[in-house]
Amino acid sequence: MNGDTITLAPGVGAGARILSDAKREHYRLAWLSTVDHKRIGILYMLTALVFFVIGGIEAIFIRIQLAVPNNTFLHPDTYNQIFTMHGTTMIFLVAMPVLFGFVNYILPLQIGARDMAFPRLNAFSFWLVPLGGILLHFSVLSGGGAPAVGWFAYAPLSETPYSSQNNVDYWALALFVLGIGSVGTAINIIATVVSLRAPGMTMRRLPLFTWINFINAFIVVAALPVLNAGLVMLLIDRRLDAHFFLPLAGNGGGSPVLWQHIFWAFGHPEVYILALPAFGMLSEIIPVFSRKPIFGYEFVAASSVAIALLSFGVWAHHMFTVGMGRTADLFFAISSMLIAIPTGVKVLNWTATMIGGRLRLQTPMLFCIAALIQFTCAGLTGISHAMPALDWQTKNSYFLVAHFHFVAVGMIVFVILAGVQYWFPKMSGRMLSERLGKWSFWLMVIGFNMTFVIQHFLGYAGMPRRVYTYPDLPGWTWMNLVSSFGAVFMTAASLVLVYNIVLSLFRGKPAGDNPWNAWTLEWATTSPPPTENFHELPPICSRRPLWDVANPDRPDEVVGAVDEPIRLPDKNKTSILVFIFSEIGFFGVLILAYLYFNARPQPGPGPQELNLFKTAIFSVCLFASSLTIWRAEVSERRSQKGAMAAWLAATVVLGGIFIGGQGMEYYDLFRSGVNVSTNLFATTFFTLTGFHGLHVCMGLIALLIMLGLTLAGDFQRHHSTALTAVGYYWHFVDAVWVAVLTVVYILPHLR
Amino acid sequence: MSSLTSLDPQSPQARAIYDLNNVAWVIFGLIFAAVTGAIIYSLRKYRWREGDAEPRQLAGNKKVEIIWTAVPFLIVLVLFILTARTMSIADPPAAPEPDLIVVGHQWWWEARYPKTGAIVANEIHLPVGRPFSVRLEATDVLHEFWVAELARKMTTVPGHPNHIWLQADKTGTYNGICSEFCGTQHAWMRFLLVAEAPEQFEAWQQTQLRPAPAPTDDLAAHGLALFQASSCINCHAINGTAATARVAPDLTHIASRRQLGAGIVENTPENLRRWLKDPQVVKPGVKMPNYNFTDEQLAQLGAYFKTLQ
Amino acid sequence: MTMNTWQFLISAWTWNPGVLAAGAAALAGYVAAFRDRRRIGWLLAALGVFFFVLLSPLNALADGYLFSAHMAQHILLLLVAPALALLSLPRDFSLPKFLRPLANPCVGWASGVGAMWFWHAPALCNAAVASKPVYAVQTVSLLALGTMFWWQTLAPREAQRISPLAGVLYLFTACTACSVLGIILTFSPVTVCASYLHPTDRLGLLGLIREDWGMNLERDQQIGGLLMWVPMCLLYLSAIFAQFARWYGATPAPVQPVLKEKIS
Repeated sequence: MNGDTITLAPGVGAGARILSDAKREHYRLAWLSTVDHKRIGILYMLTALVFFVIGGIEAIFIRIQLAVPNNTFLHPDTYNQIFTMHGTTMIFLVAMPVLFGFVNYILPLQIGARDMAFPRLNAFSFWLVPLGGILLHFSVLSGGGAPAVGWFAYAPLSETPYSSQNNVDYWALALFVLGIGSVGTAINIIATVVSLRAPGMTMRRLPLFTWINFINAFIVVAALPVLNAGLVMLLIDRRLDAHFFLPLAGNGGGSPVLWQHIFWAFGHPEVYILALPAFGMLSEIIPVFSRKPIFGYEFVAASSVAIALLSFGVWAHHMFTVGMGRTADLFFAISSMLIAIPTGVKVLNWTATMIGGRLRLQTPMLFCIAALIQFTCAGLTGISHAMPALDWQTKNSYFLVAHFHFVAVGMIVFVILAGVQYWFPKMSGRMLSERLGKWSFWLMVIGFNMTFVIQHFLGYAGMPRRVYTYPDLPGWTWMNLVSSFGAVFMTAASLVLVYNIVLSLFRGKPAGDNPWNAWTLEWATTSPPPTENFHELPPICSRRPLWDVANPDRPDEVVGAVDEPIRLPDKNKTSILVFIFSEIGFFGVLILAYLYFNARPQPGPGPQELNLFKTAIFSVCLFASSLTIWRAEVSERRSQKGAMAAWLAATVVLGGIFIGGQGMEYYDLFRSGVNVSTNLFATTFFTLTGFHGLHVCMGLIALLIMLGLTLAGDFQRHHSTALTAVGYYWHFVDAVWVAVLTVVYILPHLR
Repeated sequence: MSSLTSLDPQSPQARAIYDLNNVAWVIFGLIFAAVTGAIIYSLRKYRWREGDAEPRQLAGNKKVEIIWTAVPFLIVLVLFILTARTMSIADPPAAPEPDLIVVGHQWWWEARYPKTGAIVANEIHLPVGRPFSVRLEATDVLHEFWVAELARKMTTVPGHPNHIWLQADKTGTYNGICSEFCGTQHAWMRFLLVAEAPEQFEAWQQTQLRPAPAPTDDLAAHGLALFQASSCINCHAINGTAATARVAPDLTHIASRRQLGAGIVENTPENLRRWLKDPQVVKPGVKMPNYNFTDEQLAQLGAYFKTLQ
Repeated sequence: MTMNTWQFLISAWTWNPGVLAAGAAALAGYVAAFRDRRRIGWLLAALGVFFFVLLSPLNALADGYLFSAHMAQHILLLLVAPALALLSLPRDFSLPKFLRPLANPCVGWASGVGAMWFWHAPALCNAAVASKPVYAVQTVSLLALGTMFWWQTLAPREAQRISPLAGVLYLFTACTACSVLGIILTFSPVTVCASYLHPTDRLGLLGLIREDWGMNLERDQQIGGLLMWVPMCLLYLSAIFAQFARWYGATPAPVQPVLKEKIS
């Protein structure tokens, strides 16, 4: 690189460093204690690899069992456990971690940051993945075998009467833990992109991989809390004898359909949570190997936003056979079909990028091209599932199995493999072998299509999913055998890939900084990058800074003004706002569940048991505490340490009174025999107010920490946004109480 | 026995779906061909060769983008209209009174004909050519009722009855299955749907309504006595005896059925004997426990069940 | 007395003089106030929507018969007519001083979302069906609140609008807030607006609606909820795209020679 470069000012994009490198090496815990985004990224990928092996072996067992009709290789219960674990593992422990791994590694590099915004939160989020994986697999050791309810655990099968072992509890806990980790990572991604961009990296110049993952983080933040709320409700059903999702004989009882709504309100966005990072990778790799910029950057970027928004309005297309009624079917049909448009726009843009380029058919590009074709197929079968009339025949058949494997393997896994080939040189400093790469590519293409193309026809021939065996009906036997045979090739492809990685780590050709002549900032540093990522950065005036450097005679059009200043909002405030956004989703589901079950009076206790007057009194305390914490912030800004401590203490006391009042209310209810399992009013009431109380307690802990820090003299020298962040959170807790008070206490009086 | 494919529709409802499927796949095929064609074209025409310079850096074209956003929009609109039309043909509103009530149990199907009172299990008969309004219920978990050649599939939800229309234009035996995962033996929750001429159907229904005859020979009489004395009657019903429970399949006409265990084996004396000896061997996980009947008892029960035509 | 759909569509127009006068006044006011009338087409479109909502058979249906028709009116009055009206303003238009406090993003958001929630509280929803004056207040307030909502993104001059990315957030959160209400209405097992439970069949439409169209109460409310949810979200989504177009299209920077010097 010649010419003028921007030297990073100390502190730009700096992350926290707990221990110096030397010290950590000294403790020989460098990888366990790391908070470096690159190492965490690699840890994510290695964890995903471990679980990929487990999930892959499960897949092989499934295909062995189904290779011939009336097979007795596996006991039906074992088979049901295996497909449940296969689905759960591949989605939550393979696909999400590996994609988060790429984002962790690549995204800070692409925006010229030194690390993620919150390195310790990053490490915490990562370590929740192995914890979740262990929890999930611990169910096997707990005596009841693994969960056998399918990866979406439809109620009532997942309820205690039909799954009495505690395996479903482990399943729910594992997903809950993983969900928290994912939200943490997503908040981190958003804060990083918003607050840690290098000079010149305006939002309009973001590489597409970064932009798409930035958008994707919002989906994660909005969707995962919905799942978490559902899981909490399922656990309350299972452990506390409630019945959110369990219909009772006679009057009363919950709704199995509600579980489906909640699960898919998370589950469909989840599909895009997995797909969008892959779209991001396609949007990086295809241009580089076509030697052209992406065709229609703005349209690819904006269509990602369209997908993100629409993904929340289409979930019920998973429920066209559950009997929602014609109207709902039609509306969800049109919204689901509409989401095909932004997706189609992307496919066409990638194709158009190739036209007129100079295609270098190296392994990453091969994987991308195969992914593109296979994804087109997956998208088209997807539209057929969005058309209720067709879905009525193909749903829950092998046609559906083929469709989502075309998305999850044919597109996402293929793109991940492209990403591995593409970024491995950056991560290791060595090239992967092209020859072995091509072997694994062709084995994968043959194996994948052999396994899954034919499953479309199996579905048309009437084979349902999730059966441990089948009778010898016309066509079923040979089609299943072909499908199982394809799995052999996929296994071989995976083995070649792993061999390639291990071999190349030691014997690979040295990569150099920029082996593919790519254009984004991760290629502007050494391979692998130093701990601090960059010593210097090229000037950033367009979306392809390294193109501008390599082609000074024909640089890209400048996006915006050359020396456009960038605005970097505070990362603490950003992250707490995003966190609150995710909490709104969680409480939203609980409030909607309350409204749903209490729209008609329930038999047994109802809102008339509640004492509005008493509640009003301790509610006032909570609302007053919003004022006191605001005063505390004002005092902090004025450096009045004493006043600040006093206002904080007042806030804690007021919050404490509220919790005390709530405790008294609970005590009264318990004494009159109302508890969480009494009826659906009691269940929804305790769930909603209980989780609000829990959040108040969390807020109190945060306040006490602030108070302790104040008294220890931590806030004397400079203004800190930490208190502002806690303040935002506290106001939010109050706002939730406004909603709860209105819905639970006041609304019944208005009727 | 016929296959189980939605590509061989045998009712107006299934045919409407099949026709839409054909139209959709012509459209999808064209789209797929266009995209793949463009990719193959660029693979042939624009391959990089040693010494090539960087190509023209074209960043996009607004007009093209608008066209390929608008055209899919129109395609989607057409598909949506076709879908809405097909939905009203394939799934018209329910009749006020159902002709048939199907109840999903773990892992078998109960079918009731409310207009006559007949109750059968795992083998549903229909008069050919006459649409039946079917109400779908469940007693435990979710199941899904699917006869691919005849109708859409529909989940049976406990506490939330659903509805479909069932009609067969051609006599024959159709396969039906449960397509929503429902536990251990989800794979063997199959049923047969027999479409027959109206007079045959009537005759069948009359047979099903008859109570079980009192056994005439000794062996069978012992079988009945054993049946009534053991806990069989806690779950099963045999019309005309003391057994009236509705937890498990009605056995009044078990001998007239073609299959046992919701499709897992043919209904032969030998298979019935195996089943009674230990149902868990034939269908692992089935709700019926092993009663450890002696060979003598098995012979008695077998003889009795043979009379339940 | 029964009629078929065509007879209904032809006969159910109501020539409400108040509405016509208001429309004419708006047009006259526009012509009088602005010399630059190049954008008058937008105003005509807005008036078209306004008349359609309040004069056409849609109004007849919304008047006590169908909740879903009422919802369609609501959406058109809150989201479509004001947006078109704002687009008709000359590009050099400034707000009179006394109105400026209303041009605040928080106020705008709250008025857009609040109008939806407020008028669907069961008591108010019923009142608007039962009483003409309340209905008039509702109509005017929807137009006014809708204008305040859209001002933030559709104000004539760039300086009067919020930044494009903030606009995306503004619209997205508004969309979510309305979707939640739509979800509640769609899945609520009870009727939100009890006035539609037992319509007085003034026009003899009930047979047509219930029999020919198959609109029972449950389906009616479901359609109402879904209208608020899906098509409304699509409106917001289109507006979000407009924000992106604005963002990416902003300051088409000429390639500045500075860059070349910098790199070479």
